[in-house]
Amino acid sequence: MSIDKEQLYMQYHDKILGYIIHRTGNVDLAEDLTSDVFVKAYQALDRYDEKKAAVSTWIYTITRNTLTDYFRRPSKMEEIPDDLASNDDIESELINEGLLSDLADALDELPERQRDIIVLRYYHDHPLTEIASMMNISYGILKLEHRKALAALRKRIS
Amino acid sequence: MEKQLKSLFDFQKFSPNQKLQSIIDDVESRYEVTKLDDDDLEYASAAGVLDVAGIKNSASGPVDNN
Repeated sequence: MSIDKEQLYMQYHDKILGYIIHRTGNVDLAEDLTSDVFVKAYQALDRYDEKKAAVSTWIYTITRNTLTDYFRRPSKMEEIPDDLASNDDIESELINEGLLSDLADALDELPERQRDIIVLRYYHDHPLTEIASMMNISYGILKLEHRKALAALRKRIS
Repeated sequence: MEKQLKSLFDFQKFSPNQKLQSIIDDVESRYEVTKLDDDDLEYASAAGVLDVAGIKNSASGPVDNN
């Protein structure tokens, strides 16, 4: 499948920019890094294989790698975020837009408390101790509900 | 599972799924967890997605229509 460069730019520029702004908090930096993403994407276009990943997953991977490279520059004083520090490659089968839908459906079926825990922990990166405080429940109960939520999601998504 | 959830939610920040975003917004409304500051809130749509054009226009100052 050949990807049109212009279409790629039109479809993903704002998503990439918005994501990098979210991760760095710096608009000017985000614009520079977004340009870097497209340079890399255009260079890699002829190697893109739609059987391995959807376009969105592919360009998301390039975006994350660009961010990782940025945080690893010697001049950077701040620590690289944990999820970018991991050397694990993103497995394309772990993330795609269909799975986001599946996750939404699975979360919808959870009791509200478990759903809240999952969103607060994995979208907002709050530690479980902090979530227990936010929800005004004991840490023990929070851990139990967290385990139940993961077990339920494992059945639906994996 | 935890790794997959982190990956999926991070991908949600890149390419939002509407239904999932509604769920996230609902949780945020009950716990006041949004990390957007007041300036950015002005550019957040109902789906919680940043209005990138709005932020860029704001950063560059008022538009001169002359």
